[in-house]
Amino acid sequence: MAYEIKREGKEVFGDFKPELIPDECGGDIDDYEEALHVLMKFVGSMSSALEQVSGRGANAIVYQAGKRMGHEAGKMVEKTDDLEKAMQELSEILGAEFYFDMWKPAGQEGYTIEKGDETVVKLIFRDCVVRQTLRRTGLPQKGPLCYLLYGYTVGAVEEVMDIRGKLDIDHVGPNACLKTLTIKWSGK
Amino acid sequence: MVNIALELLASCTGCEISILDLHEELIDVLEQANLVYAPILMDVKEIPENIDIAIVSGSVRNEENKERLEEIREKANTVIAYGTCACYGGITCMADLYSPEEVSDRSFKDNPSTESAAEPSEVVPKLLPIVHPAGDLALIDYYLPGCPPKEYLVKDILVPLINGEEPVVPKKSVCADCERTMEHVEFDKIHRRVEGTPDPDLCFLSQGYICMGSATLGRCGALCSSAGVPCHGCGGPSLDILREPNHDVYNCIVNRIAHLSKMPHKDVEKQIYDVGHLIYGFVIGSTIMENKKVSLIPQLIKK
Amino acid sequence: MVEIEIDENACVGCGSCVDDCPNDVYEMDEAKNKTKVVNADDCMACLSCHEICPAEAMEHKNIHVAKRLYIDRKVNDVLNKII
Repeated sequence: MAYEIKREGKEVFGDFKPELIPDECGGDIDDYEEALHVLMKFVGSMSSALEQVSGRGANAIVYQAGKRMGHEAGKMVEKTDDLEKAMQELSEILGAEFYFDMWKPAGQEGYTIEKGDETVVKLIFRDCVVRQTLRRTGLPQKGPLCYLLYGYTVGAVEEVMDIRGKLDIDHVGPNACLKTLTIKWSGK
Repeated sequence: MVNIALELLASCTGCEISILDLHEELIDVLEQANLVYAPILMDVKEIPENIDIAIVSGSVRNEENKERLEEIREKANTVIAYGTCACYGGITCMADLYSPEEVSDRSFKDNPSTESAAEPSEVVPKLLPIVHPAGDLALIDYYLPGCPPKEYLVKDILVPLINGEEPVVPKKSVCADCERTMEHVEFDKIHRRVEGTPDPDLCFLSQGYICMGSATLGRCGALCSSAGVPCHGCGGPSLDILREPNHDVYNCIVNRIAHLSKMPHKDVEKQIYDVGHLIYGFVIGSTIMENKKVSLIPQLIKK
Repeated sequence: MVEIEIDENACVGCGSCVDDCPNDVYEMDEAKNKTKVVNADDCMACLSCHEICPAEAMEHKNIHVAKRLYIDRKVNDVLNKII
């Protein structure tokens, strides 16, 4: 018995030659929106399942994964010792999907604070694809997906500046998240 | 002259009467506009052609509503979904908590105050399996929620629209209109509306009553709150609940009560006595609210 | 610079924004029992105050508004048509 799955549009048939580019390589905004939203739901549910299964360990696993990714990405940009130049390189690595700035409270002189062997700078992440994914699926911030981004950031900074680094999160919000980056010079 | 039509789907006619609440200003409107079709108010039976603005109220409950909606969408340039029932489903969508058979049995077969009879099978149109807001079945140009939209809104929004201007009226929640003060008060029991006498100056949520004001679109002057009745959510969800996929009426109210009273979330959830009628009373039919992952609507409705 | 305006008619005086703000931008005005802005320079526009305010009483001007691509275009459409 022949049975057909009923769908809204008609199935589109076309030709495919390896040297030609079919229309399906691009798409219109509906295709991209659907793909983006489904991907967000997938990533969100994987992240929440990971957290339920591994508990606190999930953050550590994902952090390491992100750090490795960050090191890989950092290899392709110019190395530098100067923190402000490194932030410039970092913004090129992270791209417009993770728009960030250096931030300081109004009363403070400069963006960086020297604490003995370490330099501390506050970064504020304004646009963030991770935050958008979490808000799509209703998950709380500061979970494994956020740690993926932390690992990515720290790995990239470590690779660019050839030091050891640490990232702490100060505050999460719907429009911006504040993080503190610590550069440990002694790790060289 | 602008041609205006009012269409009444599954509506209580409160929205039609609210347009009459323009009182004397109705005469000014009628100098620039022709009312060509309005059930309840006028005797014209068929929808005429060449309608400029159609104001549709009520939701789509049976086959006839669906046909009327499609017909008026074809014949009108601009369609305004007027009232909470047309925008989000409103009270009429509480019928989704029961199946169509249960609803018609309750009206004809098992009604405690009438003699049992069969449902009429001639002339009466068939019920659709679920109730739809007008927005789900036709392309709407403007949404104006409210149950019904209050008089000053009819004047400040509808009249400029008839003149071709797009007005901008602030769309804050009911708490913005309410005169009561919200305070953090620790308590651990939620009261039903009939218990106790509320303090007239203190927020209902702070006193342990469930008030939907913080989750509801306002512009109603918080009439119920100033009369001593907690808000029931008749304006539909507030705009930030509509916009964010992880905000839902239920979890926003639970979070708000837990935040004010320092009760754990689970205790608040256990004490909410009726989720379907109280929390989701006016939004069950809306597909936007149903599609949220955190929404409880899919568990409540019977398809 | 970030400018913050508070609609005093809308504010219900719950003080949740004062408690929630990580940079102490707000303070409670005891006389009027409404919130007032005391430290707009330190505001980082995280908008946590918007999330918690029950009356949507504040407005932030001149901030970087983060992208919200996770909202369905259908919902966007309906939101734009609500008047």
